[in-house]
Amino acid sequence: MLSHEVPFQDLFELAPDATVIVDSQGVIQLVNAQVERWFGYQPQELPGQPIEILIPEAIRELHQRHRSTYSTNPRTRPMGQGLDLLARRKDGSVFPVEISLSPLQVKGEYWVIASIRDVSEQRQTLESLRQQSLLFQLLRDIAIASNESVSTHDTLQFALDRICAHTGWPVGHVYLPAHHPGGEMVSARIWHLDDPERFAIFRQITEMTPLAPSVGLVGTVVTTQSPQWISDVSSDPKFVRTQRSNGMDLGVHGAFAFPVLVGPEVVAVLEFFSPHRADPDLAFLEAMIQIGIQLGRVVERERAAGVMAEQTRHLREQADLLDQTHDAIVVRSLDGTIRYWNRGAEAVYGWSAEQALGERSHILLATTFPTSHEEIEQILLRNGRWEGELRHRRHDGAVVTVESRWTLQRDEQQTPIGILEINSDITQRKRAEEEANRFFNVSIDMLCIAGFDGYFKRINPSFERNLGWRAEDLTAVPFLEFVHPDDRAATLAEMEKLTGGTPTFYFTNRYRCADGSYKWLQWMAIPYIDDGLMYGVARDVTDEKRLQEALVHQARELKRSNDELAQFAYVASHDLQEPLRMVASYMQLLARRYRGQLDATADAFIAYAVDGAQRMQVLIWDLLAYSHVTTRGNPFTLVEGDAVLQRALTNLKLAIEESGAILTVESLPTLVGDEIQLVQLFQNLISNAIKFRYREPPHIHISAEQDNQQWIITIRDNGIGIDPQYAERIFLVFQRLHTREEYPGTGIGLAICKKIVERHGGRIWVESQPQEGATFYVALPVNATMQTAYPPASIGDAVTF
Amino acid sequence: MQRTLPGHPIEILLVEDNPGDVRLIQEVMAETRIQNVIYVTRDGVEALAFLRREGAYKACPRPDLILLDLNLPRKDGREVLREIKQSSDLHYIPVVIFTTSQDEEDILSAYDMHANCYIAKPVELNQFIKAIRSVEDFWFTVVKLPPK
Repeated sequence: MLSHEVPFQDLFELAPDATVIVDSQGVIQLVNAQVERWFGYQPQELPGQPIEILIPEAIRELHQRHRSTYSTNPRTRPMGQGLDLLARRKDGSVFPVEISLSPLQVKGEYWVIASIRDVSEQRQTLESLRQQSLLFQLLRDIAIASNESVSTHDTLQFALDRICAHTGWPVGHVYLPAHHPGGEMVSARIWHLDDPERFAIFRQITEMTPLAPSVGLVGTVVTTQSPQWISDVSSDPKFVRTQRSNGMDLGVHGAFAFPVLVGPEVVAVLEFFSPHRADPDLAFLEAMIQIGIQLGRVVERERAAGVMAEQTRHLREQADLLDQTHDAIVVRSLDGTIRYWNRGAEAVYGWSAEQALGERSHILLATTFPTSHEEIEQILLRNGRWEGELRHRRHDGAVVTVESRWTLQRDEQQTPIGILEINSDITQRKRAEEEANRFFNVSIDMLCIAGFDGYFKRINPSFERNLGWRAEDLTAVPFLEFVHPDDRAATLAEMEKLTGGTPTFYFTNRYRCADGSYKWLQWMAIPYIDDGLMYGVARDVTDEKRLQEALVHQARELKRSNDELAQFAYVASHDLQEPLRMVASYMQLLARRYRGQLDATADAFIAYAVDGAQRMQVLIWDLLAYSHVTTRGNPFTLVEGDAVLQRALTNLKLAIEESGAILTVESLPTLVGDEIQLVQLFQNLISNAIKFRYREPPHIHISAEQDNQQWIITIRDNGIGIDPQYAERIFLVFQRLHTREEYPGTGIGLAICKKIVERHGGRIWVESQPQEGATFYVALPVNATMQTAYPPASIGDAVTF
Repeated sequence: MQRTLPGHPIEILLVEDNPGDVRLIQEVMAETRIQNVIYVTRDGVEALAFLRREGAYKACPRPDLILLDLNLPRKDGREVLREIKQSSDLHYIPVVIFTTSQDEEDILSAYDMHANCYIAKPVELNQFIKAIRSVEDFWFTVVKLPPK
């Protein structure tokens, strides 16, 4: 009936929706072309068919019940509100639809107009949106986890778990770069496994399979720095782990993997496996790229944290070291506020860190700068560093000198932020230096530092004073130029020894003075090979040298003179005596031949002449004996005083017996000397005591005692004594106090005694009063040197003969 | 050189530069019992020439004794002594050093060179005569000298 009503029919056909008119019995009465197109039916095929033909079999019965319900309360409404309605095509396939129902009263019955709209696309879009939303959720969760991450490990684990949950895939695993070089990726042993037992073999193989770049799924990810998808790893020849499985079923098929990137660097690869084959989902992989970047931040952050931890540790070590050092280390900000103050600073300045921190360093320490502070700051800003000497005031007020090194600290933008100041306390060194300098300047000796290059490097003012040159003159040319030409070879030889490491002791050479004269310098020098320097001390020994030369000359003169005197002594003993003998002999021959022919007067004259000649001869002998004390002395030896005395007494035996002298003798010490001369000394003194006796019997006492470093030997008699005014004269040659008629002798005895004692480095003197006896004292040194005569024989003889 | 007595007297070579001493010795010898001939040379060179019978001394005899002063012109007594004692022809002739010197060194060196005896000339004449007599007595009566 309706088919006749064309306008309605056209409208019906033009409707965008598929429209089905169903009668009250549920039989299709009319469909438009959309229905035929969507459901796959030919025109006229559907009318007459039950509406359930368009409904999936599973819900046809349910639909029938709903349809009868609707007929009891027909109204316009959407069908199946809240339900996903599905339609069935002729081929049996199903698609989502929305259906709107409108009642239509026809012939007293309620028919239904159902407008059907295909919502497949709409549904797909919605699903896609839902999926995206889930992905976003995943991304957000991982991003949050990444931000809150405490460890990369935990974050990677979280990512594995979340991605597996999202995909429903049971296996997730992380590969990390090996620590050793080679660029391989190795298992991080971080896993998500829904069923660990099921994938145990896969896990085992994976953990034993490092993958080089480009090799396998992971290697490809590393090389491409992009996600990869393998639909079925079990059939992919490139999947290494399948090759290594020896045919065992790994239980994994679909797979994807994506990189964790820090910049261009792949720091980890996450891989996921499905037990089923799976086709690539590119949108999903896009999201994975984002997750990889998120996770990359975690790694980056942890790395930075690791570096920071390392830096912190390093800084702490440095700080410990800084506290170990004796140097004061101060960090101050640009305005001078102290920010760091190590233990060294506490020790050097006496201010604790608590007291110093926050103070202005130059005010706290009352710094004295070598130049202006501004100038130093400018140098620091320009060069980044400054070095110099500063004087600081300690907490206790004492002033310390420091060697200061400043370094400008800059931040990453190269903006100056502070100053590191390291101060070495050189107060002691400075003082020592100053003291050394004062000595250097005040020294009367010439002090110098010279280089192995032959130039003076530093000389003290004594050089200028001694030589008359200015310091600049002396340092301008090699010092050899000042050396006397005759001394240059020796000086060069000495320098060669010095540069070879041998010190110089008492080397002398001549230096030219500004006035052209030469001075003899005596040198001590020590080389310092590492520095290439010699430290030398020179002394002007010109006077000593002259004196020495004079002494050498004098000694030579004395030797000659002494030789002459020895010759003279011989001549005296021989040639002088011949004429005497002639006089005496021929006088006597005269007397003998002309006996009786001469008168008594002539005989007396002859006697005088003979006596004179004979006395002359004795005088000559005595003089010779006197000179022989020094020219014929024997070397000194240890001599027993008692033995010496006994020999003297033995020689005087006759005189002692004749005079009836009584001798009392105390023990005498061991002496050092010429035994023969010492015997003669005692002999002369004792024979004098006997000779000049006064009371009978003569009494002679001999004793000895030590007085400091000398023996005092005493010979005391009770003889005639000596007037003190002659006490010295009696020791001179041929000095006599009595006539020959009273006491015979030439007067040489005591002179010889004196000479012997003097040769022994001693002294002889007498204490006496006339008629009171005399006491002769002989002082001899206790520690006389053996083999040495006092004074030296050659000189003594010349002086005293 | 002078011959004082004929016959077969003892022959003495006196080496002495001082004519006073020569005369004195000759005077003393003249008064002795022993017949003697004294040959005199005044220096060491002459003395050795005499002993070696050189030149003018060709015909001279070998002396029985030599009286030798030490200090002589040209060649001194020490050298003469050494040459005599080193000569196989002359070393057996007794040499009496008769000198003024009393120097120890002279005495020692003379004996060192095998002088037969050393006599210092006494100042006193009687002592002098005694010394000469002693030499005569000892060498010409006591001592058995080697044959000529």
